[in-house]
Amino acid sequence: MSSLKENMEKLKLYREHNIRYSREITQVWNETISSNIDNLGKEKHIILEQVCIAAIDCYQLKIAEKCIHELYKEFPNSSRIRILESMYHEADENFNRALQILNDIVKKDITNSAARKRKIAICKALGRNTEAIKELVEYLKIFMADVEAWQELSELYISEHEYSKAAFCVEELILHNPHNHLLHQRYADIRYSQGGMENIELARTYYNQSYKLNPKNIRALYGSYLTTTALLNSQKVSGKKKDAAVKVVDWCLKEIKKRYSEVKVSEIEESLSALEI
Amino acid sequence: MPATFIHRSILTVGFLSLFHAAYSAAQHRSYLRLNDLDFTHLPLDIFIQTLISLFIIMYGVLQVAGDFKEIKASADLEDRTWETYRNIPSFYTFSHRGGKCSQLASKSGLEEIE
Amino acid sequence: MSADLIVDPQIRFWVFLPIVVITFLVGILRHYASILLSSQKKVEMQQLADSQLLLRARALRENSGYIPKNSFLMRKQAFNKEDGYLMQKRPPVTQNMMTDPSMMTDMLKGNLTNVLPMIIIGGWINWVFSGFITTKVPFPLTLRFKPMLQRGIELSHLDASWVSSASWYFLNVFGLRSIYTLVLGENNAADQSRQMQEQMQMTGAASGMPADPKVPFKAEWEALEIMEHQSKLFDAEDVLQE
Repeated sequence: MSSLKENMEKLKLYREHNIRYSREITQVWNETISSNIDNLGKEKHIILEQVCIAAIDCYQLKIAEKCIHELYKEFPNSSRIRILESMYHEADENFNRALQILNDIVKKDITNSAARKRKIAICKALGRNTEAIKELVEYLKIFMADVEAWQELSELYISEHEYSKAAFCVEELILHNPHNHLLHQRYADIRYSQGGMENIELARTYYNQSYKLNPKNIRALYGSYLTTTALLNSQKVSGKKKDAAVKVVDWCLKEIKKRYSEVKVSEIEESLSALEI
Repeated sequence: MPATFIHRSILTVGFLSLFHAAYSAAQHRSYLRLNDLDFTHLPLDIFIQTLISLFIIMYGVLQVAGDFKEIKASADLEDRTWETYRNIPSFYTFSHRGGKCSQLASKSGLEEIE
Repeated sequence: MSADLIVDPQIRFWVFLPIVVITFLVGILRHYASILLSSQKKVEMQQLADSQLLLRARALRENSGYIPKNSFLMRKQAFNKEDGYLMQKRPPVTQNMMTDPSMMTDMLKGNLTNVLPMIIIGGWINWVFSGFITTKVPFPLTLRFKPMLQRGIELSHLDASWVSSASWYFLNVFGLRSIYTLVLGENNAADQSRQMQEQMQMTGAASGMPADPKVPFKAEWEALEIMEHQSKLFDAEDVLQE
């Protein structure tokens, strides 16, 4: 229905923003791209890789196989395509074969970072979180500036409820991307979950920072409201700060209501009252 | 708007026209010098050609160079949510119910129809 | 004496332009030859780890204002303490160029692709296009430029603005460099499809390091030692003023 060019633009957007709409991508492949492989021009190989991963995601293994085949025609000895092949085996739950391929790649080229990351992903897929964490820590001792790995480690720690270590990882992420409001908000989320006076104060600072970086971030606004309320309800706050905090709480509530009224969501009062702790 | 062939050709035409105007001006000057005439002003047509090619080049460059980026470092992140930001392609796992359920659903759907 | 020499117009076509064209094309050839010859660069594991370490240390220094003070101090400790990351011992690397075979081949390749063609073609142009003036620079120059711009022409009264062919070739070599970035950069600009290659793209920006890791380590160590933590997070109560 839509032209090849529009689809290519859409795929490019999905690539840049890591949007995982795999079913849509395979649909686009079936509709326009599979018949037009040679018209893709410069983006041919990167699109083939993207469609391959999306097809593996949707368990459409025939499409994945075709993409891998096409890629192998051009680059017969590429380790990057062999990693795609190992992903294919992963989806088929043929983990041994996948691990074999990856170990082979690492043996041949010890500096290959992507193969190691896939091994960690396989540990994660098998549910062996502790082993995945251990491998990832070893990986990070070498590749210290790998932002994706730090992010993955923070997610793993959160799933293991080790919040202080997860906070450490998110701090690393903030060091590399200090202007990203999502990271500040994530850090505040972790600190707020940890609880305790200091952590809640830290969470409040970071929620405010995240809101300042991006006023559209409603979660930061909610977080501001919750942390300030929590601090108010504790005993340690002095008189002057109490007034300022009360003002902040009121302002947050007003802003939230204003945002929701702009988008026309009803029953906001009930939801907000449910938040009162 | 991505740069198309037309924009690039407009830019090329603008540059060629500018070079032509410059060359004509140089030739004009050498002509005057050979005839021992005084050089007071460029002929009007060369002047107009230069101006026009300037505007053509400006238009062409603006179209070819693409859109401006925002000044604030965090501005292009404003619309990203955590749902997309947390996706890390190097660590995607496929042990989710995504593809396999849809396969089963379509198969069982067919069986029901039959 | 202003230049009243009348130059043969044939020079314009048969000397001036060919030299420009030759220089340009040879430059592009050189670019592709260097790509072909240098494609087998292998990165050492230790080098990679070191470069990543330096990246992380630099990120810490630049953006420490955005993390809490304790975290910054903890990291500073980890980097700078007795056996911390930046104090790791590295075996001293031999700076002797002749005994290190890989460095010598790299040097040889660099010479081959850059200096040698320049000399060969410069000499050939000097031999073919000798004995006449090629062009004139549009601005007046002093006499000091004469030996530079008039290689091969031994006239003491000739205005320094006149340029001989060999000098014109060298002017081109240096002048066309920015045009190379324009032309060849366009092919390499932000093109994602270009990254589909045999070798892996390393995640860190640095792919290799100079032979001696101790110098950058020491520099980073000092920079981190003297650093104080300054919080750039704005204060909580100010959220109202937005």
